[in-house]
Amino acid sequence: MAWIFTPRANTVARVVAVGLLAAPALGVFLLWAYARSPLAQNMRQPVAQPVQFDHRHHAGDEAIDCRYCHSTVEVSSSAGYPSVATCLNCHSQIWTQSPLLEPVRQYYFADRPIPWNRVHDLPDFTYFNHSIHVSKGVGCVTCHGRVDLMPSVQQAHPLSMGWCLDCHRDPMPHLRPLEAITSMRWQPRPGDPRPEELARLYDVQPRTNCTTCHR
Amino acid sequence: MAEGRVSETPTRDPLEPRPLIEGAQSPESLTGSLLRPIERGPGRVWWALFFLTLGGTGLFAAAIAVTLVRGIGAWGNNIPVAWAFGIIDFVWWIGFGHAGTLISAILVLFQQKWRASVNRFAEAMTLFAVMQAGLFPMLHLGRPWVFYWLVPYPSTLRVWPQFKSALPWDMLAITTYFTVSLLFWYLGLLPDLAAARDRAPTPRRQFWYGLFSLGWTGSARHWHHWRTGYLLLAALATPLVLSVHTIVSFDFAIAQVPGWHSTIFPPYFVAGAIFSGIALVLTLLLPVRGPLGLHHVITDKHVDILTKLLLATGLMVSYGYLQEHFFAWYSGDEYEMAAYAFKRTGTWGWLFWLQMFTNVLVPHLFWFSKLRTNLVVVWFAALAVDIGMWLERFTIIVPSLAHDFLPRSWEHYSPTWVDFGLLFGSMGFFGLLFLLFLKFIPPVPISEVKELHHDLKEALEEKERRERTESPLREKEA
Amino acid sequence: MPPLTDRYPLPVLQDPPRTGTAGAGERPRAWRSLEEWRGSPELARAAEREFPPGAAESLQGLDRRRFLQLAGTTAALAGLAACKKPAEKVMPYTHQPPDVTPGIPNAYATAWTPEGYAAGLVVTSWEGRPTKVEGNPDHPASLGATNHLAQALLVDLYDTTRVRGVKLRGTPRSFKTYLEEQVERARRLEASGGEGLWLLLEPSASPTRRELLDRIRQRFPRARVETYHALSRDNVHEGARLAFGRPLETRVRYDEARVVLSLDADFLTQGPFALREAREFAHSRMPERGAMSRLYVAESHFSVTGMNADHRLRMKPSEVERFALAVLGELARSHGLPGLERFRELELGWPEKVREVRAVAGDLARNGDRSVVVAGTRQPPRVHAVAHALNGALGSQKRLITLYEPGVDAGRGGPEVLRELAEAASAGRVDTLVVTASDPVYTAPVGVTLGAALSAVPNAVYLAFREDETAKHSAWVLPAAHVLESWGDTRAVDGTASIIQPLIQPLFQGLTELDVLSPFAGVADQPPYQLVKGYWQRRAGAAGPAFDDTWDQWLAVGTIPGTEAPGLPATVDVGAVDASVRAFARKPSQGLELNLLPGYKVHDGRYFHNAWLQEMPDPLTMLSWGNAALLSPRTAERLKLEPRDKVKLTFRGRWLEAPVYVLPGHADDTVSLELGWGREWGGDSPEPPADLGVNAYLLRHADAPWFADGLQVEKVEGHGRYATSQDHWSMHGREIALQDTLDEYEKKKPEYLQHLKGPVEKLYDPFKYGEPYQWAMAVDLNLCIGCGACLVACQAENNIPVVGREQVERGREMYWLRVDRYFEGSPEEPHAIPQPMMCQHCEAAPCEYVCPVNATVHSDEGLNEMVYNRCIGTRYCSNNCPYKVRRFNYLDYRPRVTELEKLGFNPDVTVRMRGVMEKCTYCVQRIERARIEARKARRPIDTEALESACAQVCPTEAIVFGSLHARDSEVAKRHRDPRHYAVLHELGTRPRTAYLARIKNPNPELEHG
Repeated sequence: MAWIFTPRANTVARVVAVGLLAAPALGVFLLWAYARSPLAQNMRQPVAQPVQFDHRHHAGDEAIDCRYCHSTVEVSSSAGYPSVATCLNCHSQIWTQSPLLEPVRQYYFADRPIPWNRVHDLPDFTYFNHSIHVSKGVGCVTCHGRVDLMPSVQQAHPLSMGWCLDCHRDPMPHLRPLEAITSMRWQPRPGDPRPEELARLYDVQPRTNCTTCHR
Repeated sequence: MAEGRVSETPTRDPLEPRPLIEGAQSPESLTGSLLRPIERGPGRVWWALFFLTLGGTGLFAAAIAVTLVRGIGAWGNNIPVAWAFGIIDFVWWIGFGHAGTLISAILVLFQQKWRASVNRFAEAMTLFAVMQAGLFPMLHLGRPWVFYWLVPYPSTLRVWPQFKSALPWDMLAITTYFTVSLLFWYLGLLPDLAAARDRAPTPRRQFWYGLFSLGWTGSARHWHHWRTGYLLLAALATPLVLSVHTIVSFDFAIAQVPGWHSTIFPPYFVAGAIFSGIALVLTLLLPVRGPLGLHHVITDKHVDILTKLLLATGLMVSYGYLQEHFFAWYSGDEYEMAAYAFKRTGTWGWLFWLQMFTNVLVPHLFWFSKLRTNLVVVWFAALAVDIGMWLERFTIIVPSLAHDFLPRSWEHYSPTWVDFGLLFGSMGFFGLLFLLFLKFIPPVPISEVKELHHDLKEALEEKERRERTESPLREKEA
Repeated sequence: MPPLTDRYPLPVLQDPPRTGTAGAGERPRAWRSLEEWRGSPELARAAEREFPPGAAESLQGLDRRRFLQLAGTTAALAGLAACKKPAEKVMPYTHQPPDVTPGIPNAYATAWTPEGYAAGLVVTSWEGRPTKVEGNPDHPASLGATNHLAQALLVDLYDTTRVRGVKLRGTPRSFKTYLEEQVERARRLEASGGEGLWLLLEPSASPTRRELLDRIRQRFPRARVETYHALSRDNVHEGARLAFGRPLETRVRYDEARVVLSLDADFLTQGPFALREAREFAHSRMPERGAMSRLYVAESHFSVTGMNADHRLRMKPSEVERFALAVLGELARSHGLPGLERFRELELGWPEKVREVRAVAGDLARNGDRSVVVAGTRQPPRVHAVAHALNGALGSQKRLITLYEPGVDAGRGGPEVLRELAEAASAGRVDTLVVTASDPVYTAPVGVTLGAALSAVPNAVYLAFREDETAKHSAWVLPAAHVLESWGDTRAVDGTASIIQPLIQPLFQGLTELDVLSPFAGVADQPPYQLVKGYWQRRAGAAGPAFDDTWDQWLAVGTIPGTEAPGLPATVDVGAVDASVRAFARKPSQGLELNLLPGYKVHDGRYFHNAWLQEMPDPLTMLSWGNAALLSPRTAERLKLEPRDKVKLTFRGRWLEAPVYVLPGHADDTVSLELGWGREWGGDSPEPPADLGVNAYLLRHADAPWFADGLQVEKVEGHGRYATSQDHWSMHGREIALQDTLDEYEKKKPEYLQHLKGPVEKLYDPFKYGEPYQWAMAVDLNLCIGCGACLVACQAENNIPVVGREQVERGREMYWLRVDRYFEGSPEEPHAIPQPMMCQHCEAAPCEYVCPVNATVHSDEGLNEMVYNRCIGTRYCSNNCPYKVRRFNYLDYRPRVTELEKLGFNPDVTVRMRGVMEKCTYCVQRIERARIEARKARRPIDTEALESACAQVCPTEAIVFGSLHARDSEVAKRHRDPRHYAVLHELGTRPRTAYLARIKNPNPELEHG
């Protein structure tokens, strides 16, 4: 029977062989890269909300302290979401006719909760506690980014286990005076206490045991 | 390629009474006879077996599906018997694999000529057995979908596997073993695939065999590279024969479960593995030898050698058993003693004694050369050993777990249909692969047999020449 | 201990003024959440639906996140790490309730009423959802502990199979209609002075209910007001009546006692003061010569109290009476106790027991007023009378015993009542019947066809918790409110009153007993809240805001100060006792005796549907999901019966079939059977409706409510079915749960158990623990009575799933903490030793080095941490755990959990998915919570206040938890105690849980021969 493979087949075979080796390697690399990409970590994706609440306006221009709405941040594991009544505290006085606020008024008078969409969503086996972090000098901006510049809030950091561990292993770079805990613009100025001092002052001892976050 | 001169005298090794190759053979006759199995269409028996094993594979798939959907709860496992059939089957299958590597790799290095005609068998067997074995550790995980956490890779969790445990090494050992076996086997195949290509009756066969023979032309350069590669792989595979089952034995030896916690496990597991491997080779070889018309290359001589190996490894295994129970008694540790006493006399005592019969007594048949050549006896003995080795793993795993430190936690264990489904299903799948192998791949390495045939002829001619040159001298002396 | 007010945030719970706005509309209701109290229509709508707000659609605060967590998306997410998570909603409050902070649980004090009397509770509530029941440390009958039943209350609360809504002959009615109709009927009955009006009530010490009943009696002089309980305490009251001429409750100060003779009295777990008495008894067991008490228990079956006896005197139940009289005679004769002269001639020829009688009598006499005799509720009044007489003569009645006015109605509350009712009803003499007692039709004795009788009653009203047998035959079926949904009041045996306040709005429009009675008392317009508050306002004599403050204070503390009753003076009428003693028929019982027991887990059957209790292993038999016929090994041998054989028990012509369980130490020629089993399961459950035990009521007769001879036993075909979690009862000579006699112990001190403690040889230097906190536990087997409350508490705290009977049979129960039970000695006369066994948190843990993925690792504070979300389920750790305390999720147990049951989950603990390992964590969620609070306040953790769930619930403080760094903490002390040892010490695991050996104080006279 005649040959059906020309010598060129050898070249093809070699290329294919190399390809077969290269493909898995490439695949592994892509997975590795994807797992670290903002896409996989839900970062920088604005989330639409039932009410067009603009942090730029409230936290930025009006410079309302975060704790006015997220009132339990210093006492509870959850920072707390404002009750509809909280919105009405101001908006029963100002912008009472604003169409933007129509849904808020509806929810209020229907006595229904506003169904916000969660932006910073940790896995449910992870027990994060806001109060301990803010009481140890870790500012809001450290994890949530410049909320005062976000038209609609988005996740600014990976919130991955590795990312948490970085800070738990060396918190120094992320400490700030408690006065500036909710400040979005704070920068260490000459004369500010050094991180080491803050750590001593606030008795900062982050733990990296599994049960610190997983119970 | 092979030069053609039919040798009148039957080729025989001067040092060997029994022939390794029977009948008057020439390279052509060998090539022809050895390619016939794959050039012939499948027979009725083949189809029957094919559908049987296909059914078995179906059962396997079903059992796997149930396990994945319902969870390990579909098995009979409990606390304390958290490992059972899953691990038993795993160790059993991986054990079978060892014959292949032994016969192909180690015997190559020792230049054992007889291996030539059985090694492909053994290697194929190894490959398929390891495929079965590889499945079980995955299935046996509570959450199989995160199996990759066993692999050391840079994770965003910043967590690594725990290298103190034997399991990540298991993973490593099995994958390595599979890869090397596969390469070794495939490399050995190249020349034969080429031969099949050259004699292919249809273009389709020609194409496929051609594709997989990677353009083998049998040039001196090819042969040169091929030999080097083959030797290197053999050298690479040899340590695996020892390493793989050593690591598997660590799964038990590093634990402190009474009945597991023993330093003799590594050597005795390796011996057991080879023991079972040889047995399986015999179990599969004898039935197919006739139908495939391989009597002339797989002779009683081979059976004889294999049974001797069986006897040797059987004695090692027996020694292992003896030591285990001796240690238990000698340690004076009440938990060890109780565990072994339970093995011998407890709920599953009868399995233990059955195992003693198959693995300790049966091999002793082969002290007698008559029995070594009695194929019926050999086959049943081999089969008994195959079963006995499964029992061995059972009596190691289940009774030890079921009877540990606190009497409170002693529980009975009873397998479910899923457990048996996985066991027999995996056999079916193995059989299926094996049948396909017989159908599409030369079951006996043609080139190596021809080479052997050539060597034998050389040796014979050498002998004749010496006789011719010596005889005149004697006449002078007289 | 600081008062509760400092420890718990004060809820201020007020009912709204009567407006039509709230919920179902007819009546004001207790609060469910304050915004509802403000009357929100949305929630009113939700109230009509199956699930309350927080469960289903209208989720609030952070609940939703917690729920998802509880629904266990946990590992699903872990598995599909790369995939996108579903968008999660967050529902903040519309009005933030002042006392609720999302993420911080509140605790409210209340009480429940087992056997009619109060046991104080403190219930943890997350955003208005009760999740954990604890004892109230300030309540005299609780002292911070609860029994296993109280721990399982939540299961009944969140049970979807409860009765929903008022029904008249199966058709829904509104409560309003019920009220109107009953008010009308009451008016008509008033004319006839209440002829034909029957009330069959659950025994209760509620002062408010008593007041209502008085009003009803005045209004209907000819009405029959009866209490009924299948396991009634009649014998106690009748016995007291016999001895003192009036019914009285007896309370014994066991901590003062030196010798205790229990006549079939399981006083450690039964009785309204059991929790306190158990603790006091434990305190009397401190193993020092002279200070340690000695307990004799004369009983037939093996009770929890029997498990703790120094001498268990096995005898047929009927022989206990004989034994009591024998002791009486012996004391009168040989020790000439004052006042017992007339019993000198009391001589029952009983050679085989004479040795025991002498020894016991001698011991009692020697210890005079510090020795006490107690009789069990199952024993006839005469035995109680004799006990009183003995205590009087010994002087212990003055020193150890306080007598109280019964808080419950001390009438005949047993099967007798049912017979009368049945007769009256079938004769058509009953027009209106109000039943609040628990399922009398099911518990009725043989020959009382109450069901038919009830159907004959035109206006039979039944306050039902479930659609049970009684509900089937009653015209009106009203949904009963769970105690955690109810307003009410109650009092303990010593008179201390408590207000019962609801933790949550009734989930199914449940009603309280007061609701049902109010129309007949002519106060239909007043809801329980007003009735109760009104009653106490009158009693306090205060009014207005002043009283409101006191009221809030009462609610916060859980008890009403100054309500303790004084002990009553009483003298035994020896003559009367003598008379009854002479009436005693001396014929010894013939043949086999049937012996009926109160269900340890199902009580009279009312907790039959409680999955936690069903699965809980019985302390002695380790049976779960059913009961069995208990026999002694010798009797089983004589009758040629093997365990799990099926036998036909025939008694007075009626029979039932039960599986055989051979219980070492059980009395010979006696077959014990627990009451309360064999009901229909129904509902959605981890177990399909199946034969869960056998219904022993089918053999119960009004004249033989507990035991009688004349039982026939025959083996029948087939095998009985039961699930045990422990098959092997012997320790096989291994040093696991250690027990020693006081003499031995004192001889061996201080080198006691040296070979089971201290460092072991190691190849490598062990890790040096530097952290300030070194968590550890200590279990004093000498204090542990083996009641099993810790096991259920652990289940409640840690969201441990119920696996169902099949899985228990397969050996897959999920308990993180189990109470092992070992027998020591001969199968006939064994000692039983309970041993709580949980993760030992080994400093050199065998489980850790075999885990391939670092899912179980060690903390620098000595915790063996289990990380569910990292576990891939190789189960290697379990194989290598010598204590076998690790539990594996063989199946997915979450889908069985109804939306409603999820409300009861502890949000602080991850719910585990299929295929992961889990185990005791030393309640690490409590540690971390305490740590965070302490670190915020920049102070060290108060390790004394920190308790694991098991330690908190333990009635006898046998389990203590804490940190070893506090040298003088209880746990550290116990780790230094000469009795302490490590289980499997020679393995070198260095457990953080230390066990303290159990010390027995046997009577030398009974020791040998």
